[in-house]
Amino acid sequence: MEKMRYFMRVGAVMLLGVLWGNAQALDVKITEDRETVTVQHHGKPFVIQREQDPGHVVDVAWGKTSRKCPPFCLQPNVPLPGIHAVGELEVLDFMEKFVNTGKGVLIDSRLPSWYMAGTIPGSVNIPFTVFGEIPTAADVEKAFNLLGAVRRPNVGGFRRTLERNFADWGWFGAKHKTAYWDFTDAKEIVLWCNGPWCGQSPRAIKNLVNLGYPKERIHYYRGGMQMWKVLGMPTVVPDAASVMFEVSGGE
Amino acid sequence: MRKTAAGQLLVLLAGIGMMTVSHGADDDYLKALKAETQAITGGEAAGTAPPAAETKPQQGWSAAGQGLVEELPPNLSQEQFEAALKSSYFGTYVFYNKLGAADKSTVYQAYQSNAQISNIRDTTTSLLKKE
Repeated sequence: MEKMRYFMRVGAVMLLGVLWGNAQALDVKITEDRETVTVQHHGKPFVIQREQDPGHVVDVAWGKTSRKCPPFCLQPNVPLPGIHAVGELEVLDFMEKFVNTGKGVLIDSRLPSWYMAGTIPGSVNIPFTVFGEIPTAADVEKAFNLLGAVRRPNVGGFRRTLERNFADWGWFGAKHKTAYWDFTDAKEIVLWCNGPWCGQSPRAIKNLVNLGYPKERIHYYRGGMQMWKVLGMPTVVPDAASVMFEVSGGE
Repeated sequence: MRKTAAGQLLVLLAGIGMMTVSHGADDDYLKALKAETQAITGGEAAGTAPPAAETKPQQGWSAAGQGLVEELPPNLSQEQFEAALKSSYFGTYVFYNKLGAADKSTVYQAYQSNAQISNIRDTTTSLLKKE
């Protein structure tokens, strides 16, 4: 009798556990075996979970189909040969493995006004215009400091000639160096902007490559904010103090 | 020799011309981006009616059609000043709108002493960073 009561109690606890577990499981997961992802957003953890309301629809503004082209033309999946294109799952993996460990940076390439309206959690805002400046500009230096690049002292023309000619052979340790920047320890970066019709992050990527950033460390999330929202992923309205770069022009 | 010098001069002039065109193109792109920001965040494309206070006719000032303008006209009321910022310098307006009432007054006073948009922008961002 005692044994029976004991087993009944154990069974009841197990049943409750199963019911409780099922009650907590999300209806709308990210993948079959992934419900949430936690990313460090400016020093604080942010839990990413998809919108659970099956009736929820994306804002009308993000449902527009026909913005004028130019300037809002469709972008290729690969903005430059050698750049790695990623989707949402790769972005989430990047958050866990690189953003959270400090080894990578998720970059919102849009103008600050877009960023302030809401950004993908874990992102920092480096407007695409920054990388269009000269290699020694103050904003370029500020951005590259965030990305792990190091300013080189004046190297001299002869050394640079040797480096350029023998970089591919690995001589002179110059594989990831330009006249102004050492990208040896540059971080992995994912750049994104408003979506497949947005040219801001492709411009940033092209300018980064021109500045010498290693292509193999640059990743492009073409889906951007539009796909992020369409899939019910959350955004975060950033703190105004997190704006690091001003953009002039166009006003 | 003369042909070489002339050729080099032509290349130099072409380069300057291309740079001018490309910077103009960049400015046009920035304008288009800022206009689209307004469409996305201003409520008109979001399917929601703007608040009633914003539907009354604004007798304000707009930079539209005035070419490259770097300052607001003088003697605007605070309401007109805000409307001008919103219509013509939307990026700056987004930041301005994040400020509290006291800081907004500070920015308005800064405009009254110097109507240059760079001054308004600098005052706004320094107040934001202070918060």
